[in-house]
Amino acid sequence: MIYAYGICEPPAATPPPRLRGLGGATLRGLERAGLAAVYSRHRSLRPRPAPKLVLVHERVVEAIMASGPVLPLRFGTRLDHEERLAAVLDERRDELLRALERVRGRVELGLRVFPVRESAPAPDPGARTGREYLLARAAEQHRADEAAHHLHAPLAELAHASVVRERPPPPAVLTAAYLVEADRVADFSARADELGARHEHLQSVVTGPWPPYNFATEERA
Amino acid sequence: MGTEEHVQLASGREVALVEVLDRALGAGVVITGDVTLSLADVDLVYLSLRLVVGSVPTLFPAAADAS
Repeated sequence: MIYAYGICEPPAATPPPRLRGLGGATLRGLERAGLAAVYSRHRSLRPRPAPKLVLVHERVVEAIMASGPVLPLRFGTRLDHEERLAAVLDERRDELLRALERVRGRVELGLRVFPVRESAPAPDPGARTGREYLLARAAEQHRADEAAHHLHAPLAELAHASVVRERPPPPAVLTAAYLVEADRVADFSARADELGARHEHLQSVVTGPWPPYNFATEERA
Repeated sequence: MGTEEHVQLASGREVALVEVLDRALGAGVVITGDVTLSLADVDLVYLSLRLVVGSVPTLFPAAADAS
């Protein structure tokens, strides 16, 4: 059985020699007509989404990204053997090549917007009347709209592409991802600071640069 | 209150962990039907992280004071 981390260009980006895959496995590269994939071999493997294991996956993807464009695979990608991986590269060749072009020279940045605590007690259905609860929910929706309008929209203008998550995990009122030119990360960050200073009732965190997880498939980018 | 502990523990590293999990578990290319996670597994991870994320605004007391 094999576990696959990411798709890149040949020669399969060589991760640093000390870097290992899940369970300490050796990292290998498979090349196939203009595409490559980084994977490891396992006798048996049932990766659970424990933070420690997910971080191993992430480190491998970041190592590939350090030497060229990468399409990160979803954590937990197992295949029976190398031939199956090669077949996937063949079957989805055009789509994968287009995606590699789209992310070339670009990185993903993340935005999370939180309400300032004092102005935004979390809705607590148990401790309130129904009316209070609904009012709190309406206020939350209002802040989400504000965040989208005042923070997300101007930041999206600096990005090649962006996605807003449908239902951000509370207490965030907005989470979004941006595909940004690698040399414009500082501009993006400065703009986010500037917008944040102008809207004090919303606090935002910009994170990254990340591998382009949110822009590796066509429907999301 | 139980969340106070998380408020104290919040750090940039924890924020980064949430961001990594969000991406690696919820995005990225799916090339096989055999992605081995059940939704229940993912939900558990998110549940344990929600408290950490909830404390993020306390990382920026200066901004909160200013308002």
